[in-house]
Amino acid sequence: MDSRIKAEVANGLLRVTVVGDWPLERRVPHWKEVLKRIRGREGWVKAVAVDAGEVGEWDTSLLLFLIQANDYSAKRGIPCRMERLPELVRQLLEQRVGDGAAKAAAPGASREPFFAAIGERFLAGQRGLVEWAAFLGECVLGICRMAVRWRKFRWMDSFSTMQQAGAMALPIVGLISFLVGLILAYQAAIQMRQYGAEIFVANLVGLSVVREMGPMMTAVILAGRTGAAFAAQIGNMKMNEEIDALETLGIQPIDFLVLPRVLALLIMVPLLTVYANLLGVLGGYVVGVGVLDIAPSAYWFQSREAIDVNDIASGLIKSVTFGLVIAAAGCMRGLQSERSSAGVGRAATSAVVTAIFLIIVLDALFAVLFEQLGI
Amino acid sequence: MLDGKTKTGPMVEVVNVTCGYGNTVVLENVSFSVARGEVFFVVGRSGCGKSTLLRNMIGLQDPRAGEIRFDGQTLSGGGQRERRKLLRRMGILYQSSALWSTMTVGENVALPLEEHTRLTRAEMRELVAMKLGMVGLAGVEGVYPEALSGGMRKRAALARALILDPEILFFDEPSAGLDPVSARNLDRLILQTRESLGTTIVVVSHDLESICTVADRVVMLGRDEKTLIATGRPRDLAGESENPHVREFFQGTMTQKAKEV
Ligand SMILES: Nc1ncnc2c1ncn2[C@@H]1O[C@H](COP(=O)(O)OP(=O)(O)OP(=O)(O)O)[C@@H](O)[C@H]1O
Ligand SMILES: [Mg+2]
Repeated sequence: MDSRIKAEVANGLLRVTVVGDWPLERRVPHWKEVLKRIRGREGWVKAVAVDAGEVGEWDTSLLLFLIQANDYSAKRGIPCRMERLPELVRQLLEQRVGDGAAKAAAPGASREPFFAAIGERFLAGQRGLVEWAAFLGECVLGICRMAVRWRKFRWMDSFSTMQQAGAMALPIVGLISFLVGLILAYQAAIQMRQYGAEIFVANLVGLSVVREMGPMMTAVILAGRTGAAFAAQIGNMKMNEEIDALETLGIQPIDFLVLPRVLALLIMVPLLTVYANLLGVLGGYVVGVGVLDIAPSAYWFQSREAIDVNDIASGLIKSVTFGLVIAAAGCMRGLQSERSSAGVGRAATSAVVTAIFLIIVLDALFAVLFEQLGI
Repeated sequence: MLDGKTKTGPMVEVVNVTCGYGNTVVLENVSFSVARGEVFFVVGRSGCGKSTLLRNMIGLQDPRAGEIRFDGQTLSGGGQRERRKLLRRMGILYQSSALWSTMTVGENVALPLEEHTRLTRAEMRELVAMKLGMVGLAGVEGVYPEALSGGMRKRAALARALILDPEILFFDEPSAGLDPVSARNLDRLILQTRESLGTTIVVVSHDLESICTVADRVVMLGRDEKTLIATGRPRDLAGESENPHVREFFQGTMTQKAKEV
């Protein structure tokens, strides 16, 4: 019980006296404590009076308490009198009572019914598809424009993006691919050893890396690394009116910002995939030769036998589409970003999520397609 | 540029324009026109829709209703080519400067030239140096915008806006975030530009000092009225407007002037 409030009921009047210091750092007593003290007699209360004549140092916490008193009596429909309030408190309280009335008049945000929420979601999904279609359409138009005015293409931007997204990503892509190859080899070895067929580790690792893991891991790394960067960069430019400045110069953001980035990733993702494939196979080789005691030449020969040109090509075809998806998702989310730092953050997150989702979906589609085509 | 002076008729005509965002209407039925070579201010309390009106004027948004004509043409009326031609005749100084952060100041100022002219690299460099000199920023071509102060950025952005010798210049809150001395220098630069190039200048501002010293004519937007509440020369509005909001707004000017004296 807080000693700073005193409550008594007499003749239907609830008298609350506040004394002592009221700093925000201390726990602020709640109006409920007053009610607790007068338990059983609450029904008799026909009016409230708060007396702050003996209050010491105070700040907003006192105001908080008085507001609770006010709200309580308003809810019960009984008068509430404030006595001997410090002048400033009185003013602040009056201001708040005015605001409170305005708030009561404004309709509160009601919770959406369940089915309405589902409908909303569905419509949002539909809008998302339309946005994608519109964006890709814009890109195609941009490519047509660039075909005519190729001199105006921002080659330098494209090259610097290639460097940022490609060359600078070599260490991380290499390391992860190598480790993936290593992990695959260990997993395969456990199974193959049962049949004394360790040499087939080379086939398993080689095929999984070249057909699936190489393209996929590269794309996922780039989605996180580069897709997010695109969205953040472009979102920031939008926030800073830089995109507006382009548009009012008669420059389409698609031509200026999106196409150079798309081109850069269309080239860099397949190249990085080749590199990832090599390092993935190398990871398998290290396990095969170092742990499973397969002769280096045998492992090499077995890998070459297992991996067909078709396998490499199928991986590379996928990786081109992955590059497109990463760049497009990053740029599109950036261009759609809201003009605030929270909006830019959401754009970056959404770019990564969108890109990874589409990469996996595309990969599944390709798996079916290649199966049908017998590649 | 030069034939701009010989032509007649207003430079900008805003006819019954309604604009807004989503379901909210910010301004309704706004009409005014800006004469050639005029320094025209759009003023009003915060949140009354000045920036929104400007965005509609420079084609970043299309008006819900009504028309905005430049020299008799609308931005959205013709095809892409006409739009580009029209945009080429405008220069815009954004509130946040909006220099492209991945390019140096020199590249920033040169980009409009690259986009709209067939000048050689050397000629562009020459022009860029000249315009940067004009705004008092000689020699910063190689610097990235992030290394400039707010006032320097604003001037660099002004050089970029001026690089194509626009017939009409738009300023969004040019003096926001500047110290009083820089703000007055910018005012001087505005007047100088008009003197030397005959440019029509439209400024969105609530800097009372600028309004009184540089504006030829002012329109005031009302937040509650959602439309124009006054048009005229700043002197006249300050004294004899019957609208209390207008008087209140300009009274600030007068008291500030009085304080100076
Ligand atoms: N992107 C937006 N979406 C929705 N409403 C907006 C948006 N931008 C501005 N508004 C609303 O439009 C109204 C006018 O805004 P605007 O930015 O044009 O005001 P302003 O006159 O430029 O104000 P200031 O002098 O503070 O810059 C405001 O009520 C604002 O809430
Ligand atoms: Mg504004």
